[in-house]
Amino acid sequence: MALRSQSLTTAPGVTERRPSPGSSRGVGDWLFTGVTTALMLVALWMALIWAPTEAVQGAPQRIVYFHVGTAWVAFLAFFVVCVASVMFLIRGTPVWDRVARSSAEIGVVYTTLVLIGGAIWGKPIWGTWWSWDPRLTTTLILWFIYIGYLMLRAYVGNDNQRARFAAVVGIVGFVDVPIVYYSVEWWRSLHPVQSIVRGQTTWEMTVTTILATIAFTVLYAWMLRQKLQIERLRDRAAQLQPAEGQE
Amino acid sequence: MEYLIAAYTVIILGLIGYIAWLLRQKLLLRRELAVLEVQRKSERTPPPVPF
Repeated sequence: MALRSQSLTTAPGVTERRPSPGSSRGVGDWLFTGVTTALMLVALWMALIWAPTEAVQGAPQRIVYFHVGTAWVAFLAFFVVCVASVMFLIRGTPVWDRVARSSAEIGVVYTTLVLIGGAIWGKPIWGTWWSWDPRLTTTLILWFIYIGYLMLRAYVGNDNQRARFAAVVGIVGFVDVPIVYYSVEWWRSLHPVQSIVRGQTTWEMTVTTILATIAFTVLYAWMLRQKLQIERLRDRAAQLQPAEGQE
Repeated sequence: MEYLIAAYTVIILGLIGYIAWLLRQKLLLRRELAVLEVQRKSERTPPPVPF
């Protein structure tokens, strides 16, 4: 794949403009933030109050609504890393590298929450915080892969080399996502199967899970937007920094 | 019930903490960029020509 050797910073002369509160971009930002907050609050209310208490598991089953939402976003974030990495290797444009590194960080945050939330659900239901079950183990491997991705980004000095190495890890690392998803079907697992997909829940539970998943997806988009703005600002600041020895 | 509270506390505080960290980064970078742009402009401005 041909790679164009170009600087991974914003084009010269392009400045980050802060939207004024009255501008359409400023209003759009506030609207996006408002819709995201409202969706998250509705999802929280449905998960904790509106949805019925499950007969066997009791209250801890309500953890599943946010657990499924966070797990979905973790998968989505790593999918975006994979697509952006492929696009970066094909086109060599810095924007794809920015999307990949932003999405990877968010994916790691969500995977951490999936692992912690899952462990807290596991204690009352399985009687243990952790089990070397296929689903849990492959999720932990996924977390390590993307922690490695972020470490690689932090330690490789050359901009172009760092972006190319990271893109390869971002693509190869995504192989673990379908393994995590299908692990409950491929191996004997303690972890519940996809009960929503198989229609094993009441309609209130299904609606709550779907709405929580939508709310987390919108929150992911909001976070990605914030992170992309930060990366653009960081690139611009790096460009404006006086070169060493010039001060 | 305590497991439910613990799980939601961890998830919500985790997300709020990450969002706060993102917004703090954005604010600090905007300040840094404003300073750098002022420095860049002052470098470009030629010194006043004496009569």
